[in-house]
Amino acid sequence: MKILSCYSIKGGVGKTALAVNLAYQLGTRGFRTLLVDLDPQGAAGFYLRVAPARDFPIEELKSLTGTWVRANLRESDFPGLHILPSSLAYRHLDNRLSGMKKSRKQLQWMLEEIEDGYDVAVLDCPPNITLLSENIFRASRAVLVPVIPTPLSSRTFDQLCGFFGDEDLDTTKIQPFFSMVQSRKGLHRSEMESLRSSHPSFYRACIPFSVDVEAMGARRAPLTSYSRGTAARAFVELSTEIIDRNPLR
Amino acid sequence: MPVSLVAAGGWTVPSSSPGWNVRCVASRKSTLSLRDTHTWALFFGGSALGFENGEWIGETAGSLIRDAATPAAARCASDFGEGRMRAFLAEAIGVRALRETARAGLQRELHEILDGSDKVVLRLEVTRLTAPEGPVYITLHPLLGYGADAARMLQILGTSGCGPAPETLIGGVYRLLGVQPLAYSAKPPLTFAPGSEAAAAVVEILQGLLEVARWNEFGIAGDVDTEFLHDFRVALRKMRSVLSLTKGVFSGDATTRWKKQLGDVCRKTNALRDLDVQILGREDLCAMLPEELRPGLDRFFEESGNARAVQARKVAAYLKSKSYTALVETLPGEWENPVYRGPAAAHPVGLMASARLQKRFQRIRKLQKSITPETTDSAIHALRIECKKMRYLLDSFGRLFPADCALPIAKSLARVQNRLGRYNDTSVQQDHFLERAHGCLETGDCRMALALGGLIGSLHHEHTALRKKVVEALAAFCNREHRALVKSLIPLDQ
Repeated sequence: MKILSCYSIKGGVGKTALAVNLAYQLGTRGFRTLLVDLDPQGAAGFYLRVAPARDFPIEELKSLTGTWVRANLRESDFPGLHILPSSLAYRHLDNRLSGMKKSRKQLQWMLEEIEDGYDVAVLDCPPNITLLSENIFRASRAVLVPVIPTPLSSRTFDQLCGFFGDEDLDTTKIQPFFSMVQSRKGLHRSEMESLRSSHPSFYRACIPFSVDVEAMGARRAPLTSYSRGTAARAFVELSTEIIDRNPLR
Repeated sequence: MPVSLVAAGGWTVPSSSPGWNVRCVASRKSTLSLRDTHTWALFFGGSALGFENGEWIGETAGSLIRDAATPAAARCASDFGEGRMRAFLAEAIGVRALRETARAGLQRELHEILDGSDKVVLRLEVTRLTAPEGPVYITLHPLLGYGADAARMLQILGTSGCGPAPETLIGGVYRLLGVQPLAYSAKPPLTFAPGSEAAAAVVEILQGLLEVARWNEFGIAGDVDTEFLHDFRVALRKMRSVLSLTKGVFSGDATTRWKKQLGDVCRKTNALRDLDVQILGREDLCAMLPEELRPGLDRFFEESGNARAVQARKVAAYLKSKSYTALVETLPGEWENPVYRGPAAAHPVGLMASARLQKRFQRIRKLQKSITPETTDSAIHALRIECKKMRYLLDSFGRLFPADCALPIAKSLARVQNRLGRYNDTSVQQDHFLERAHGCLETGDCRMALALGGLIGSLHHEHTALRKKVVEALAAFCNREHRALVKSLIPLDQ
């Protein structure tokens, strides 16, 4: 099972929108896909109409185990796509991880216990850099980072790259793409040009700023499952690029 | 896991209940064309295949395999594109051809059950059999994580007239249309006992084999698939072999005449079978060559295909000929005619079989011991024939002995035969390709000559390596344990 994470230090940049649409695209293309909602807000589960997971017995755990995961897996309405919904108890995850042995590998071990059933796991990650983030970076085949082409967003992207360097993590895992792009803004255009020249790993496809993406919350389904609009086409193109760049079988 | 249920015609999906909405998301009429081989390999293997709405649907071990890319006209596994369907069929029907076995009119519906958040919690697949008119087949597909909803729906379905399905949809179609699949086996069932008179037992074997051969005639005449000729020839060869191996049961003259007559029939089909084997092995032969040399075989197989078409017509005509018809119609009567009884006709078949199996084993063992690195291929071929005879004896009379004696011998012998068979094939093929390559050099077809040269080299290499394996398998077959087992081959009720 290959793990693709949708991650950013910043919140509200398009992580969950990518996670849900990428997972849907993978499922329709024949990959047995598990969407793991690690964000206590539970937006990915909400988009797929799946209720939050039962109480995560975080106080009792000496290590993360696959037993709880298996008991909470849900089949989505879409072919080949399962989801592990979020739990509010995840907000304590960092505290608990710090008390566990091999605290940076717990997530990887937990996912390895269920890897036989899936080709790909897509992780929708909470913002910030924490011990959980380090678990995510180590377990992932690729860390997909949405970057809004603004100076502030670029700064947090640089912080992430710096963190990978400091912690001796594999920087080639970082795979950024532009999100919430407003191409009529000169600032966005120049920021994109500058970032592309300094980071050639940016994906070609860009997700535009669109009311369609915001409306996913009302429709509660992956945008690419019902729309043929510009934003939906951008998610399809980006998913294709991600699949091409990361051999998943 | 999906749950299959059945209800009487006219059944409807229960309407929404508290906490649930029921939504029909698809409904269409369609015609299901059922396919199987002439031998009902899918039906008796517990699988099914149909073509419906531009799509092939295979059902095996409770799971569905779909293929929308292969056209409706596909007749055998190799006509399907690479994928699960082709793999399933290759396993289930081998090289047998498919045919339409029945047609049914269906009304297909898909219902989704949604919870309070409009999330699908389970699906109901409903199939109404409309022509012939019949029951409603319901499959409940639970969704992972929503087991409680599935359990609740099962209860509701139970109270609405649904019950466990005693048969599949396809089984129901066959029943309603009066189609009665009959099992086919190239090994006819035998009823004689160890104490039966040898003549009666041998006649039963011969008649069973002749019946198998005759059942296959229509498939050869219609050129349905290559297995018909294969089974036909095996039945004839076994008949000849049984006649040789039961010397004394019939008079010497009659035995010789029948063996010659059956041999003549076999010979008429030799060329066709050789070409079948060659064409069936195309993929394997191509795989032996580097990609650049493979196109050289295109014309080779084109020529083989043309020659096969000629041979197939010849064999079909022969099977309709007066001489063949007269032979197969008179043989059963002759076998039963007391005039042709031999000196051993009244012997108990069990003891006779035991003595002949032991004799055959000793002969194989003697030949095995005489093998040296200098032993020629033709001597190995002679040993292969002896092994075949012993196999036919075990096929025909093995059931008269305790299974714990006969089965290990048969199993070990099969291993020897597999290796000897491949050893012989690689030798015969080399000779055949060499002859064809000489022809190519005369006509100037260098590409084909090059490809055939490559094949000869590859086969030579395999043949040389096989020799060691053949010797090992023979030694294992003739080991002390098997010698003891053969000695203890005492008929069951003796």
